[in-house]
Amino acid sequence: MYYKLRKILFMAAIALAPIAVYASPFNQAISFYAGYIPSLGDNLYSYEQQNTFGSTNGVDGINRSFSGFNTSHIHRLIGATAGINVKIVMYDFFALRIGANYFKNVWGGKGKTVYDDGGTTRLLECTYRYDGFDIPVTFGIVIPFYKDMKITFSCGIAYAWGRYRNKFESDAPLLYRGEFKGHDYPLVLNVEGEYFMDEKVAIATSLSYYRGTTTVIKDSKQGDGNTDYAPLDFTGYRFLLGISYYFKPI
Amino acid sequence: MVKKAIILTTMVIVLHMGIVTGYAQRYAGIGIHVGAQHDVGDITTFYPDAKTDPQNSILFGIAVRLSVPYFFIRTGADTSFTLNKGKVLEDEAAVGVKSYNVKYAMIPFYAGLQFPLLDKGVFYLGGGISYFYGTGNVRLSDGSSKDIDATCLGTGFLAGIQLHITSSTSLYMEWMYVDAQSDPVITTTGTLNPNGYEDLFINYGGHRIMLGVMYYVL
Repeated sequence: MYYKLRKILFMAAIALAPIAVYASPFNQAISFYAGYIPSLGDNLYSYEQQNTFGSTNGVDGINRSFSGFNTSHIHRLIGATAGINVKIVMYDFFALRIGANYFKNVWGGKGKTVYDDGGTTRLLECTYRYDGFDIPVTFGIVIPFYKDMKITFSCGIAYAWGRYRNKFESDAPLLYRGEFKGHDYPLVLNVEGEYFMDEKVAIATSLSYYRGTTTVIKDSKQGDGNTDYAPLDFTGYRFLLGISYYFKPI
Repeated sequence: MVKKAIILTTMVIVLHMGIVTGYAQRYAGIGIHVGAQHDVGDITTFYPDAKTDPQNSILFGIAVRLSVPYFFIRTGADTSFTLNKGKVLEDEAAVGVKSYNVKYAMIPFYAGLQFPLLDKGVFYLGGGISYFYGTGNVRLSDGSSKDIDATCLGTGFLAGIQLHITSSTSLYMEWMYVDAQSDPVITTTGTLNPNGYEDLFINYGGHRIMLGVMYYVL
């Protein structure tokens, strides 16, 4: 993984070498973004949720209620993300974007449900967490509207690394903890709008769609007496707001 | 005849002037739209292996839009009408559901950036939340029917484009994606739920496309 990351960073360094010549048909911009990811990690499926708690669809199916038990809804995760993005604009109409983003769950993924423990209904406390980073590289078309704004459509792939952790606890007594770490290369589609405040600075918004899931990964959390398996799902939308700085006036 | 021609020509000129010179900052507008959603209630989030004939619905709604040069706020209200019910085609006994008919009212609240397209229109992109109140019914695998009564909040985004047709009216088209699931509200009768837990949640999530007309009062 280290060598792959080094290769990506090396390629990024070449691609993003400062374009110093003023008359060059290239321009370069740096953007800082922050936003959110609905349904981070998708349904957070893992084998033990199916095998022990009867949920074939992770957090979606683990939610149940039953008379006499004080359950609370376990929502899908909402993630926050922040990152930096470097864009090379070529001949005003083409763009190469390379970014680096960190993401983490900030809401949801915690609550109580019930499960069938060999004929006895028990209360189960569930906790889900997900974080990671990604390096998207996309290429696309820029549509400039005079000196006021630019809309950029681009697509490509990302190197995405994620870590998914879950914990299930009941008074059986039972305590299952799982931790799954892995990476994948999801497809990335992006639409970005920039509104220029002056010739170099723009406020920006971006909508990205990632699609990609790792193979099934073995639980790296030892000591709880069970081994779980789960894929890491990077599929989902990301809505971002930010600010862009162009090194040359547009 | 000549009178009619003069009136029509004058109207065309006025309208054209409105189109060409009419763009000004539009601060507050109210619109009406129709829309559609495919796979309403998406039962495969409840049981991923289910083979379904998905429910399709049309939407009617009003949109309220507030904007300043770069930012916009979009709210309003939508209600859905079922075109065809959703059906589970295979694994009915395991899923515990035969068919479903999900109707809902939605109150969206989205905010984001907007990008004027010269003086012809505006492109906008925002994030936010939607509140859902759902009704309808679910026919279970044992033949019984249960009513849906479920609320929830969802998060998502809104992307849209407006084409200004006069100085105060615009056509708009919007794409809204929301991720929203209710609490479990119905006890299914499938083999996967032998204990009789309330397990079926209502999925209001998905993509919606809307097309409408907006009148700017300010």
